[in-house]
Amino acid sequence: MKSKKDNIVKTRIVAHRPPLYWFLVLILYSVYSLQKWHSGTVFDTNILSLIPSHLISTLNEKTQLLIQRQLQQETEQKFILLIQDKGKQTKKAVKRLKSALLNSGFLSLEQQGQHLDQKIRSYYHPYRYQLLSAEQRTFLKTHNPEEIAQHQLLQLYSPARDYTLYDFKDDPFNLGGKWLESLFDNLQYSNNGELIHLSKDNSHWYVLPGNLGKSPFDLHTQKKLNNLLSDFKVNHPSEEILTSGMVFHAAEGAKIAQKEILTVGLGSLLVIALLILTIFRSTREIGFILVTLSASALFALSACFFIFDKVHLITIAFGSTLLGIAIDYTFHYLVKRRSLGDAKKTNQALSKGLLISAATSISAYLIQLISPLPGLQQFAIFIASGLFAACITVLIFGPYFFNHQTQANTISKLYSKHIEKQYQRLASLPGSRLLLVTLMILLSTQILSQRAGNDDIRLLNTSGESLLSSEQKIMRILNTFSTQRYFLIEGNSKQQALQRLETLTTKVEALTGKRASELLVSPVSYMPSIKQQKLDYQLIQEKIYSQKTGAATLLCERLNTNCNWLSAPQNFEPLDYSNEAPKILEQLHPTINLLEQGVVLAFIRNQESFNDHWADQIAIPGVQYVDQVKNISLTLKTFRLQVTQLLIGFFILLVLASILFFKKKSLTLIGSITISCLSALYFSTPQGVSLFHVLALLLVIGISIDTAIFYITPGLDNDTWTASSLSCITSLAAFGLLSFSQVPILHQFGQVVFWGLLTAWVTTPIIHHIFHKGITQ
Amino acid sequence: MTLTIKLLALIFLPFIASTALSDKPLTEEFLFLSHQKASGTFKQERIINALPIPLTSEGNFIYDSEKGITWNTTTPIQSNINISLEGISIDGERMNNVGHQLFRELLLAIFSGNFSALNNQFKVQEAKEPKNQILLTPTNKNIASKIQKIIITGRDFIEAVAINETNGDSTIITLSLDPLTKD
Repeated sequence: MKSKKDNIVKTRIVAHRPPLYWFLVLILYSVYSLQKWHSGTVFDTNILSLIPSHLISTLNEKTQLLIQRQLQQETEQKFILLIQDKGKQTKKAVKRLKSALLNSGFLSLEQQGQHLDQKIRSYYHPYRYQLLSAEQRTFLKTHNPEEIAQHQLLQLYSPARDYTLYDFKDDPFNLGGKWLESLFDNLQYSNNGELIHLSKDNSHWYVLPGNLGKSPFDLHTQKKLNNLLSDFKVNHPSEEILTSGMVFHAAEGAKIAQKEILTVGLGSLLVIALLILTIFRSTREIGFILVTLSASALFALSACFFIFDKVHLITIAFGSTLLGIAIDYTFHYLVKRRSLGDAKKTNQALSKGLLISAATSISAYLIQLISPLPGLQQFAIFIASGLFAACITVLIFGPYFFNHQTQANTISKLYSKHIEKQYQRLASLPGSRLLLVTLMILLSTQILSQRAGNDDIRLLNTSGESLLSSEQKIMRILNTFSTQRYFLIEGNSKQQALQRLETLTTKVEALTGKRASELLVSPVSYMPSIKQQKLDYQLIQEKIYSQKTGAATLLCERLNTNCNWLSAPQNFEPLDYSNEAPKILEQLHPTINLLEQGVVLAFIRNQESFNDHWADQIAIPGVQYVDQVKNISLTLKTFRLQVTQLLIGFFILLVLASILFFKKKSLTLIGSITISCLSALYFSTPQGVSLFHVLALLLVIGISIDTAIFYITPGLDNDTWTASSLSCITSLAAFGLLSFSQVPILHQFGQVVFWGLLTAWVTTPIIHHIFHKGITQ
Repeated sequence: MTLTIKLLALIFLPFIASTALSDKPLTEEFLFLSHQKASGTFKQERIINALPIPLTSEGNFIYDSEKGITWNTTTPIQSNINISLEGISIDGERMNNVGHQLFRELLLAIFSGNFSALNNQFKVQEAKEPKNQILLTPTNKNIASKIQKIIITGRDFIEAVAINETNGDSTIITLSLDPLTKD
């Protein structure tokens, strides 16, 4: 007797073990997630982290990392504000803005231009007889000493004179002044100690260059800066302000992500809540749904924290669709349980379908791990782990939640009363099989013949038009450059790299017929190779300082003086880049520090006037043209093709597996997947098929399998159709909302899955009837 | 003797100007501010510390508020400079560098009397004594490192422009208006 009681207790304990263990796992994950949350910034808002980082092929990985780090340092934390000077009111407003920015505690404004020439003057002074701007070099080469002396004489008697860097006796031909001007592209910067002012093409601007001193993806910093600028715009609506910097793009990306988490997440929840309340009306069932969804979301988030440390906000926005998919399992479970009136029987009836369905969906999502985009990898982990948790929770907690038998009843008989007849009528139409196959062939032909690949980099863009145009306007005014396109020059030493760059400069000039300084931003403008310095030294000696026939002697004659006042030219002393160089050089050329590693980058100044074909025609050892935009597009194309091949392979495997498992019934599954994928592609890719469309097709396959499998096992009836329809409505709500996303990736995912899901819901029962009429009847 | 007087003037005028300046806007007493067209002759004397003798040149000028300034040097060299809103050219060669652009703005502002164009670079003050002077002091640090001050003398028309540089170099341009062409 005692042993019988013991056995019952033991059985109960054993029965309670899985829910208990699963409950403990979930508690553990909750603690882990909470701890991560409190540990600091766990959410990533950097849209660039969605893009693969290794896109440049260099001689070694160290160089690649150096370039990346250097470009990041230079581009991430800095920003520039330009305010058009409209008079005294603007000046007052800019002063107030500057003071607000400084007082904010997050910003330290860079005083570009202040004491600029003093620092450069003293640095270059010992080398003034060996440094020539490209323009000056050409002038000296193409003029004789007589002409050079005459030219200088005109300057001396002119009321308007050149900007000079050194005293007349030190530099009578003002080579230093012209050298400095070439460094600053003739931009008229002025600094009155309070504000930096810039004049260009008769327009005048105040320049506020800033440095955040921290990551531009820090949400607090973004908010603070945006508030200051919003205040400025509200208080001075007539002032025109232009912004440039990663922080503004980051803020816009974060804003969109947050908005979409809200719309997709809350939208899905709202639809789910409405469905639950109208259909189930039972606190226990509502509790079961809430527990499953919470477990699923918690598990997904924890898995992402564990694997990636930081979770991208786009992942969360994207992952909000998890709620729509995870609830499918609960719907199937609840509908079946009501129908059978017993949780254990429900588990027996559904476990096979539920596990196969979850396994195939999880596989479809996990295939995205091969995607080059870290954002999508996160998304794959997020959804796959979430689905796993949802499936386990339903099967383990189901019997625990519903441990008593109830009277069997069917939630809705809509299917058997109205829908089934319509489906049967459609399926029994003469030539229905042929019609279905013809439709598939037509759709395939249309897609294959009319839908080209779309690998546009703008798919990754989250910044609005106004922000991009402001950025471009600043680039035009400041004559700055983008760090996306450049020549990468590598050498065994600093000097070899610089010499190769000089050869490149000469070739670019010969190819384009333009001055290299108009096209390239290159460090040889202010740090020529020693070889070039020697050549320039010899040129200056020959044309200006030679004893009897030099331009200096001729100038003295014209001025009726002897040349005693003239400082004797110094001997050649090589100028080599070192840490002692003024910091302004780093600002002028963001990657000049790389010279120490024998690496030089020459950025393209004006992309519109630079033809990429020129770059193809340049073949210099150690020199390669890097176009990050093209690289990203190429990467997208490569992965689009790879994922397509993988998708085809996955489809073939699926067909074989379904034939193996379901024999003749497999036609439902194969037909459903095929028509859903074709319809999704047809309706959502009018502008071409992108990598993200193809990746989304994997989700369509996963969802179509879910629908088809439940119709095969346990079978198409009131319960499975109702559960599938409820699932479909919630998923359609989630992906439908996603298709309105401003982020092109999310928009494309949303569209493909929406159309695929809708087609699967509508056509799978018809296909099932067409191929298994006898079985169904 | 003339040179000595001018040198003395260069030394003392800035002193006088700096001790008696008014922050009021320029008065209408400076009649040259309203000239639309003018022509005449000039004499430029440039003192470069390194050189033992000053560089003296002479020539004629034509000012037109719409077209700009034509500056013809006739001795000791011959050259033609055109200064307009569009830019500056010496003997037909366009000069785009920062130094030339600054002097273009400066000379156009002086001849037209539109000193507001210089607000971002200079502080413009009217001297109380002598009453026919305007003093320009650079507020832009980069310009201030080169130019100490500019003194414009004249009542009916600009009589002289003196530019004092921080390294001790200086330039005095003396203008004589042709009465027949005065507008």
